[in-house]
Amino acid sequence: MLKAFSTAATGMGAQQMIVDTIANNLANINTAGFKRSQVDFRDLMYVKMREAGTETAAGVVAPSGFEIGSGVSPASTLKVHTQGEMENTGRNLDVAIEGDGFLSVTTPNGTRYTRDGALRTNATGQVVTSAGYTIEPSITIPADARSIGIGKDGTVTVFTGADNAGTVIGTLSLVRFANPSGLSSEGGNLLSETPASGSPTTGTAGQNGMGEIQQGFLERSNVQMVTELVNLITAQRAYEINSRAIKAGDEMLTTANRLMG
Amino acid sequence: MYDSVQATATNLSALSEYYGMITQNLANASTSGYKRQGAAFDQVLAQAVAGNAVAARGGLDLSQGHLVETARPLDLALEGKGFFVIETADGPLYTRSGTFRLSSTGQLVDYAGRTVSGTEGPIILPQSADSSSIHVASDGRISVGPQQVGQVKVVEFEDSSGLTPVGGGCYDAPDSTQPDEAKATSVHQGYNEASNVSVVEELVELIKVTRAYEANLKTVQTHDERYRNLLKVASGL
Amino acid sequence: MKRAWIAIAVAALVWTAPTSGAALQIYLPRTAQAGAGALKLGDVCVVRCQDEKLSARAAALPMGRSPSAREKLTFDRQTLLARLASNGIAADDQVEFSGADAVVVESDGAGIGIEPLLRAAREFLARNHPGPDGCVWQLAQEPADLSLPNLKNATYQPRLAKSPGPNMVRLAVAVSRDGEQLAVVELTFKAQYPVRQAVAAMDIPAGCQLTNENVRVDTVLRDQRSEDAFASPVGQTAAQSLPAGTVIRVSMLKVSRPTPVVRKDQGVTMRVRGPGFTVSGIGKAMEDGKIGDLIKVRNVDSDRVVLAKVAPDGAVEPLVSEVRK
Repeated sequence: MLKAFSTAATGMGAQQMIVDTIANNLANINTAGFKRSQVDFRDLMYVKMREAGTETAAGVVAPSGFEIGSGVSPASTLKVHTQGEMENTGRNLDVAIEGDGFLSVTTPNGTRYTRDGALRTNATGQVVTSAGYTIEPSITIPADARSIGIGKDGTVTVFTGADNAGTVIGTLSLVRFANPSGLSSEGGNLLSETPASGSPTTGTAGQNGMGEIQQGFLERSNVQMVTELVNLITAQRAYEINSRAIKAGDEMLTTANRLMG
Repeated sequence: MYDSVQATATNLSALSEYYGMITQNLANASTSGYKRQGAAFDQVLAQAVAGNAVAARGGLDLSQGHLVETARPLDLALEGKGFFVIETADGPLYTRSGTFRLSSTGQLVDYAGRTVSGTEGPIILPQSADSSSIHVASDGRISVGPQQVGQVKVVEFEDSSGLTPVGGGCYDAPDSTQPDEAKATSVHQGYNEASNVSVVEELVELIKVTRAYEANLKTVQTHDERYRNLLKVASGL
Repeated sequence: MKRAWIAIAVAALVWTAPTSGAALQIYLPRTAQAGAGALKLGDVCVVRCQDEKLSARAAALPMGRSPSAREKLTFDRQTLLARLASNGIAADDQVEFSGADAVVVESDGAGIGIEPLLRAAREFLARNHPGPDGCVWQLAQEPADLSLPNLKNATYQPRLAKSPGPNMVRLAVAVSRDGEQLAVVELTFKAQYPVRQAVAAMDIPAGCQLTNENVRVDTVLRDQRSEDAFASPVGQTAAQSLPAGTVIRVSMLKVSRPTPVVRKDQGVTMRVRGPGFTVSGIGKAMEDGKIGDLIKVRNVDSDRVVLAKVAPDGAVEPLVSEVRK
């Protein structure tokens, strides 16, 4: 019976984890390019109490084996990489990726990947993310640029001077992974490569399965408020009932103690 | 009389095992593809309350869980009796949890990175596959864009009573039981099969077990008092 | 007696065979090449076993689809082991692996390339002429991975798909065999126009005359039709040095005809051209002028001063709107 307490406790832990994940999803409902997470659970190993066909009491033969599980554990947190809605911002350095792909970002800890396309320029004119990390491959906007055009294939053209002549100064390239759900979340809307995600394949936007780049748009978070709230309520109820199971077990033990004592 | 005490003791241990099973079911109320244990609860409980000796019986309740939309292209849910086949070094395992993913080499694997069996061997998606171009038909055939890359193997058991849960959402089948190709099972892409545990029903079972446990304890207590009285009489006190 | 010894020796051999030789030996090369058709375990690695039936069964185990051109499929030891164990061929302890940790399977190149698709698409374009006259269709972009095994007796049926933009045409080529459609590959073509241009065939120093020997005429494809008719520069003189390969433009040439220059006070022919008529008169230049210059000219008859453009033949063409007293 004491083992069952820890089983129920893993159940409470699982529901707690769901609540935590939902809270994080809801907190990021307005974060550009954020992808909702979903926890995937698996039952833990089973303890074989009895083999099938053993005699359990005088004349009683168990028709099937009997195993008791040890509860539940989280198998993985999966990022759900569905497309978020496109929001027109009109800023010429806001880019949204329509389809698969990530922007590469150079950080002090190495290359990271993001779908947050709220880009800006820093003091030296380099194109950076909102947190100030440079985009790979690095693109520098000349100081005399009057306007910037970003094509669907990611080519960045600047228009300088009075003659309005466009000069291509670089290309925003995209990377993709065999298993984007395997990327690890690093906070700050950044993801990093893991053995599970596979290594990145760099390519041109709009080709070979890469998404297209949309200038002047931001991809909104794909978190759906109503879905998250329904999941939250379900998780809370399940949590309560798991705790109720512990209480019931406790009552059984108390009764046994009282009667035997 | 002594026999009936022993029967009660057996019942008590069976009931606490049932209690363990209920907590297991409750803990897995949110585990996709989980099948509740203790299909034969009620009839056994009735006997236990009546004071007859019972044995704890597992028994998987393989009823269909409802399908929850996840929108992940590699979340596959089964509707029907079938199971997916996971290939491990110790032989095949069977599962209803279809939260699959691609390995770093583009192969379809389960949450632990094990091969998801296809009808013609492992299923490898081309590197150019983007999430919106992956399509899984209801018969398990996977295509990327216009190209077919394989078919997920779905099997069913004529007699599923031999399946033993081994954790990780998987079941092992005894060597004597060979599965057949599933006939009336359809695969749904972008869905998970929710656990078929109903927390309310488990709560009701929990109360029943608690009551049955108390009733059996009372029987033991009554016997205990009778023995004491008998001993008093016998020893002439 | 001797015969009995042999019998014992044979018995010993039979006895030891299953214990030492039952293990399945699998050697993984680093890379393997596979042809068309379904992949078998035997295509991926080398399977050896004393029990030939067992190794044959293992080698025939299906391993999914074969790689398409340019594609690489990777199988690691764990996958192979799981595959064997799950098909009841050999358990964990009965398999001995050697060689690489994982094998990369590539196509042996016999898969269909883009050629038959392109051929069918080009025939279709030649038959149907979906674009403007005189254009040539160029493949705009290589199609993504063509994951098709070699298909003998396959048929290719192109049809027009939604055009991705102006001057473009997209064809969806359906690949089918025995009536079953296997894939649809989209090919995008861009309309291009042949444009003739003169190119320096060798280094031409400034002042040298252009001849058929030092100039060649190439035809190139451009997105737009050329606006002017092609005029050969042969016979003219290079105004600057032209290294071999330079595309010769009018601005690089010195016009070899003598330049008639109008001098001040010179009598000139005044000419007004209109659609279908020419009016001429006599005037007197009031300033010097080169070809194309605007100069003031006094009309001898009317005594009016007009602004006129110097034509190559030495006549002047008054700008009708610029007439002044």
